[in-house]
Amino acid sequence: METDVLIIGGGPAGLSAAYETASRGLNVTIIEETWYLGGQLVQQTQSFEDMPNHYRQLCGFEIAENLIKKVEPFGIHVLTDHTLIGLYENGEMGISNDRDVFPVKASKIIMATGAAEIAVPFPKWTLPGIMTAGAAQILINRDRVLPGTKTILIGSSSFAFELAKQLHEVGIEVKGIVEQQSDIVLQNNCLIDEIEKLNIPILKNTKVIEAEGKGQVETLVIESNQGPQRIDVDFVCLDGGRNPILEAFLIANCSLSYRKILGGWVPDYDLNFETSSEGVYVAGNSTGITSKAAIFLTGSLSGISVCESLGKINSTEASQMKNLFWEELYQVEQQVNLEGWNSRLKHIEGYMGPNSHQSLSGIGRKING
Amino acid sequence: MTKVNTSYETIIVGGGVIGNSIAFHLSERDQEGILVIDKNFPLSGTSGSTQAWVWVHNKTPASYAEFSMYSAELYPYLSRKIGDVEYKRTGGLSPFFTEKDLEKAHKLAQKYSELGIKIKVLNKEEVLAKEPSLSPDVVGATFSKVDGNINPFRLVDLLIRASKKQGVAYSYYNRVLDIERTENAFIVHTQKETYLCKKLILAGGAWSKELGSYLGIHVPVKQVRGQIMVTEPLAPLLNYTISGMRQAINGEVLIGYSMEEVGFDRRGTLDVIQETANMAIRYVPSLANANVVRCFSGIRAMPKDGYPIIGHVPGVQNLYVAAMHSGITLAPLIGTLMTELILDGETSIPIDDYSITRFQEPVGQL
Repeated sequence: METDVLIIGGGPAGLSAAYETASRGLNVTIIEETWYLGGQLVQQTQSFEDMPNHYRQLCGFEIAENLIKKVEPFGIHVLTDHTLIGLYENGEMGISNDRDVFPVKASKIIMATGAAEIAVPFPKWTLPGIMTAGAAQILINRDRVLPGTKTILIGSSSFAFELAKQLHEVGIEVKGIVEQQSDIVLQNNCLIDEIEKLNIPILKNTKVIEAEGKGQVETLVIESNQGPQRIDVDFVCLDGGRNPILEAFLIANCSLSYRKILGGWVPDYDLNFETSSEGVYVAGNSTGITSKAAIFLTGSLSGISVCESLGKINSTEASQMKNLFWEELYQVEQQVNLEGWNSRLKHIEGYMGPNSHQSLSGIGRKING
Repeated sequence: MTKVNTSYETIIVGGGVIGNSIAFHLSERDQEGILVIDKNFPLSGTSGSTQAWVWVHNKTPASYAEFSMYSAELYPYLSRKIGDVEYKRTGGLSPFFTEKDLEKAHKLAQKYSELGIKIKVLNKEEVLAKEPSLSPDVVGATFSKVDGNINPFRLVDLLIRASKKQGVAYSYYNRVLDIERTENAFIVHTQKETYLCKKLILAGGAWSKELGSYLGIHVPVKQVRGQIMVTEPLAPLLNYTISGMRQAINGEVLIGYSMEEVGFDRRGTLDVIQETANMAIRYVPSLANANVVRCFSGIRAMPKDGYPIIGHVPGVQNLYVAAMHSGITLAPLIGTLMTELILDGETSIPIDDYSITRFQEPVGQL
C-alpha cells in the first residue's frame, strides 16, 4: 500500500494533521488502533479552558464530531483497528490488523500517538476495581457502564475534579479526592467550589496506605495526620498524570529527550515538528503534554510542515500559517501553562541549538524577555 | 573534569555478565581493590538482551561443548552462593527436519560420548513424546539433559550485589577513553576519572576491539545483532529449552534465531521478526495463535572464529582479556578460571586453546 501521508493515531492531533494535509490534495491514510476516530475526546463530556478559541464552548465529544465532519469531504483512508507494529528494512511501515501484517510506503509519516495515563502503584493496587481516572470516564461516558457505586479518587488534577463531578452526576457516591500534598493546584479554582458544593471531601495531606478486598477492592486505607482511615469503596480511580506514548517513535528510531514538565521522555523535534528520523513528524500530546490547545495546534503545524515539504504550499504561505498557529498556542498557554510553553521551546532548542525558536515572529523573544 | 590517579589493584572494564562474574570470583578470594567500570549501566547491553540459554549440546568441536558443560555444572553452585538466578536445567532439544541431519546427529553423539558428554539422538516418536507441541514434520532431535536457561537480570544483579558485599567498587556511565601502559601499571582514562591499576581485565564483550586498540592489541571480536520476540504468557507449552526458543517461568515464549552483522545498530526490523515468527511456527505450529507482546534486539560479541578469547595477553604484563559469544553459558566457568589464572598463575582446566595468540598464528588445535 502507498500513501502520501501516513498518520499514526486518529485522535484530535491526527485529525488536525489530516485536515491540513488532505484538504491540500494529499493522499492521507490514518491508522487508528481503536474502532473509532476522535481519541480521548469521545468520552469527554466536559469542556476545556485551554482549548483553541473556536472550540472553547464545546465539550469533548462535540469537538470530536466537529473534527470528523471537517475531514470527511477529503476522502481520507481510515484504517481503524490497525496498529503500527514495526519497520521494514526498506523503511516501509508494518501495519497490522491483528491477523495480517502489511507494509505501507509513505512519503511522510505523522505520529500522533497521544498520551497514556500513569497509574501510581500502592500495595494491592492490582485488585480488580482499581483503575485510572480515564478508564472510569471511558466506562461511564463511552461504554455507558457504571464501574461501581462508591469510589474514591487518588490525585487532584483538574481532570480528577471533572471526573468527580461526572461520577457524582451519574449517581456514584464519591467519598473523596485524596491528595498527598498540602495544596491543590488548579488552573480553574471554580472546580474546587463546585466539588465542595457537592459535599465531596477534598482530603489534603493524605496518603494511600493500601487496598483491601477479596477478589476485588472493598476498602481503601488512607492516612492523614489524624491517623489511618478505612474507606468502604467498590472501585478506585487513580489520577497520576500522563506520559507521551513512545512505542511508535522507538520503532522509527527517533531520538528522545527527558522533559519532566512535558510528561517525561519526549521525541526530539524541530520547529516543523520533524523528528530525528527524516520524514517522520510528531503531533499532539506526544510532542509534550502542555494544554489541550497544543494537541490541535501541533497537529495543524505538523500538517502544514508536511504540505510544505511535499510542495503543496509555498514557504511564504506556510510560514504565515505556522506563525498563526504558534501565536495562538502562545495566547492560550501564557494563560494556562507558561511553564509548559517554555519547556517546549527549550525542548526544541535542545535539539536544534540555542535560539532556534527566535524565528517564531518574536514569540520566543517575548518569553525570554 | 578528570580527577587524577585513584589506584586499584585490579580494574575490570565491562560490567556485563563476564566482567561481573570475574569480579565476584576474584573478590571471593579476598582480592582487595577491585573496580568494575562500565560505559553504561549493567544490563543495558548484551547481558540484558539475551535469551539466556545455558546451552551445551551441539556445540562443536566436542572440546568446546565439554568446556560449556563445566560451566553449566557450576551454575547450581553459583546460585547457592549469590542467590536464586532461576537456573532451570530443563534439558535441551535440538529438533531437525531432514534425514541428513539425523546422520550428523549420530556422528556428533559419538564424538561427545568420547568426552563423557551424554546426548541422545531421538527419533520422531521419541521427540514428540517428550515435546508434543513440536511439529509432526520433525524427523528427530538431539537431546541433552544438562541444557537449560537462567534469568539474566537476576544473574547480573546478584553477581553485583555479592561483589559489592565483597568490597568491589563500581563506576557506571563511565566510558573508557584511553589506556596507557607504564612499566608496572596501567593508566585508565575515563569520562569521570583517571585510574591507576596493576592488573587490567578487558571484559568488553562486543566492545572489546575498541578497548584492545587503546593498548595496540588486536582483539578480533565483531558484533552480531540478534532479534528476539516475546509472546504473551501462554499455558505450559514447552517442556524443554529448544534451540531457538524457550518458555519463561511466567509463560512467555522467547523466540530468536537471527544473527545479523550490522555493527552496533540495535534497531529491530520487521523482516527478521516475521522470518523468526515463521520459523517458530514451523517448529511449534500452535504458536501461530499466540500474540506477540514485544520484540527486542541485542548486540552480541562474536570472536572471529566463534570461540572465546580468554586469558593473559602475551607480551603485556598483567593484562587479561575475556571476550566471547556465549557469556551467559560460560560466565561461572570464566569467572573461576580467570581468578585462578590471576591469583595462582595457572588454571584447573587448560585454556590454551582460547588464547588470543591463536589469531597471530595459523589456527591451532580448534
